[in-house]
Order: sequence, then C-alpha cells, then structure tokens
Amino acid sequence: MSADDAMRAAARKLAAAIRDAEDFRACVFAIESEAAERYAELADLMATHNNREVAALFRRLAEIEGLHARKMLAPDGSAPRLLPAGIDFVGAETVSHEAMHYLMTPRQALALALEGECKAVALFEALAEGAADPAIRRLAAEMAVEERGHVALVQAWMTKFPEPEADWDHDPDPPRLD
Amino acid sequence: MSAAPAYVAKDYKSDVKPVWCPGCGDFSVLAAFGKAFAELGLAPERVAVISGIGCSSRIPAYTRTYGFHGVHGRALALATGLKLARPELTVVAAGGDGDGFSIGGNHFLHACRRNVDLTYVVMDNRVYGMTKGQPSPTTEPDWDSALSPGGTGLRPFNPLVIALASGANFVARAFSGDPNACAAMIVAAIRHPGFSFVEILSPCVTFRPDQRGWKEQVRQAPVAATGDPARAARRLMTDDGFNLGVLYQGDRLPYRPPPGEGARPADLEAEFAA
Repeated sequence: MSADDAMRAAARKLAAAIRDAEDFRACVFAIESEAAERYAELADLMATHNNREVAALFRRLAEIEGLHARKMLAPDGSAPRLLPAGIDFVGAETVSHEAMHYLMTPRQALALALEGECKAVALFEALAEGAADPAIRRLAAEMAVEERGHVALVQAWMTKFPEPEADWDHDPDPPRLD
Repeated sequence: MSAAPAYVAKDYKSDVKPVWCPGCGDFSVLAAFGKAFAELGLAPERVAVISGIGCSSRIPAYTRTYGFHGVHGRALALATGLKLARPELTVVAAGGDGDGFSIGGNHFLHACRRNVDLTYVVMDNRVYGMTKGQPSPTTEPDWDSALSPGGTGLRPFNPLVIALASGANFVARAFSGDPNACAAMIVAAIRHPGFSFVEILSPCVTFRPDQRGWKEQVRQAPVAATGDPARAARRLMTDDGFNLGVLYQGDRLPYRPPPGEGARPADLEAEFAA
C-alpha cells in the first residue's frame, strides 16, 4: 500500500468514526499533539547525539505543532482528550523515527517535516471529500487549507538551508568498524 | 463521546530520554508498549517490564511502570519468578536477539516449556548493537563485517520455530516500522493466556544499515493464525522471516503454582543467614 493509499484508507476510517465537530476537534488535537510530542522526542534525540542545530530545529517544530494543538482547546482551555471509538490511527502528521540519522542536516530535518505536513494535507483533503456530514467536510477543508499553508511555510524555510553535501553522513570516527 | 479511557500511551512514558541511535526501531516498540498498555487499560503500577542487557533491554527505564533491568540473558528467569510470586501483575519481558537467544537461550526454551502467563517481546535486529556489531544468533550466515569477515557461515537460530517446538502458547511477528500493528500484536499477546512470544523486527540502522530495506520486505502473513502446532510448524519452517501477524495461538493451560501460601520473605532470608 502506498503512503497516499494508506492516508486515504485512514481518512475513510476517520470519516466513518467522526460523528460531529467535537469528534473532529478531538482528532485534530490528537494528530497535532502527537506530532508535537514526536518533534520534542526527536529534539531530545538529536541533543543526545550532539547535533545541536537540528535539535533546535525540531524543538521549534514541536512548539509550532503544540500551538496548532492548542488551537483545538475549548474556550475554557479544556482539552478534547477523547478520540471517537474505533480510532486507533493518529500519526497523520507525525514524523517517523526510522528516517532519522544522527548526522542529518537541517535541510533533511525540514524535508521530513514537509513530508509530515503533506501527509496531513492528504488526510484532510480526503476527509473534506469523503465525510458524510457537511459540517465535517467544511471543517476538514479549512484544516486542509491551513496545512497547505504549513507546507508552503516549511518549503520557504527549506530554501534558507543548503542542500546536504554529498558526504553529509561521513563520520571521521564511525560506529562501524570496517 | 465514548467513555473516558483510563490511560493514554503517554501515561506509560518515563522522563528518561532514550539514548538509542536515531532511526533505531526500538523507539517505535517503546511507543507500541504505551499504546498497548493504554488499549488494555492497565494501571502502570500493575505492569512490570523486565529486561536483560542490550540496547533494547534499556526499555524498562523508558517506561513508567514497574521495571527491572536485570542480568544479561536472565530477563525470563526474573519475569517468571515475578509472575509466579505476583500473578495479579501483567509481566512483560523484553530484550534483544543476543540477550534472548544466546546468553538467555536456555531460559527461552524453558520459559516456553513452562508456559507461565507472561509476554516476551524480542526486538530482533540480528546483531549485537550495544557492543558494536558482532553477529548474533539470528544473523544471516553471509553477513560480512569487520568482526565476521566473510560471514559466520552459521545457520541462524529461528526463534519462532524454537518457541513453538518448546511449548509457547502464542507466537507472532511484527515490524517496528508499523507501531500501531506492533501495539495490536502486544495487546493480543498479553490477552492470550500462557507464554506469548512476539518477535519484532527492529532495524539497527547503525550496524545493519541494510535493514532500512526491511520495510519493503515485510508483508502480512497470507494466512490466519492457527491453533494446530503441526500446521504452524510447517508454516514457520518455510517462512522467510518477513511474514507478519499472529502465527500460532495454542490453548495449553498456563502453568500456575499450586494454591496455598508460598514462602514468606523472612523464611527465604533465614536460609541465607550467616
């Protein structure tokens, strides 16, 4: 299954489970919170491996995703903690651990972030097309527009960092012994 | 809205920051532990994560449950003792392929045979990562490296076959690249009575960068779980190591100690009194 197909399958599942705007808000909160937590983890990870520049970048991305999550809070500040029953998929915007490298450059880190934002666009676009409730379709379309804005932001940010050198992963003291 | 879940995955995560290499599959397994415990609604103080030594064996430090980072290869001995003494706890042993199948190989056989109601999760990366890349029992015979020039030439240990032959009541394989599927597998393993063994293919991107390709190799097993050991044996013996899913679910009753009061700590201590 391709990444796009997986995202569409996830959107179908979400569309079937989301009953109202409150459910939608809970899903968006979970997606954004998980993305923020993952970026914070990756920042810690890069700090542990002394890649300070990328650690700072991931820390900033964690703050941004945290802001997005907080936008889903109720007026009294309470979090929509509960996901609708049957939803075991969040991860729509979450960067995978697998793609990490201890010597990765800021440009590569942003490329990962871009991948996450594009996944989120695909999810909300699919929901905007596929949800049965017109109110959910409208909210999903609004989120898709917002996520497309994030894509443009990350793309603009990427231009400020050079492409990685061909030997970006060269380590003069490599862990491998051969 | 649905009823409030008792716990969320984050509730099981400790404040200790993992020191695993970026890209290590064990991060996803750690996330899967939290998701699985939350799905089961387990109170953190009712769970014990027990390990031996190795990169993956650091997992008790990263989970906010009871835990024991034990002696090399002895996770199952510790976990078995704990489960027999405190049967009300959910006991999960965890570790790597070197710890579990080489140093702890004998414990693995007998834990399967005893069929105590616990779950053993092995993060298999087919290498000793913590000690810088020696071949492990599951390493391919032709894996060429500075520490095994030309490869070991040795037939790899097949942990799922050994588990089945030794009496494990639940045998499954998952891939760390899909943490949700890993979590579902851990949930199924914990729910299944008796000794449940889950092999999670968890790439070591530092010493086995070739394992980044596993995500293209793994596939869902094209068959449903069986309760027939003979059929499971045939299936596992012909398996290429990349079929995912529950591959065997037996119905053997778990071992439980005979009812009655066991020894009190003071009695045990008395035997060691100088």
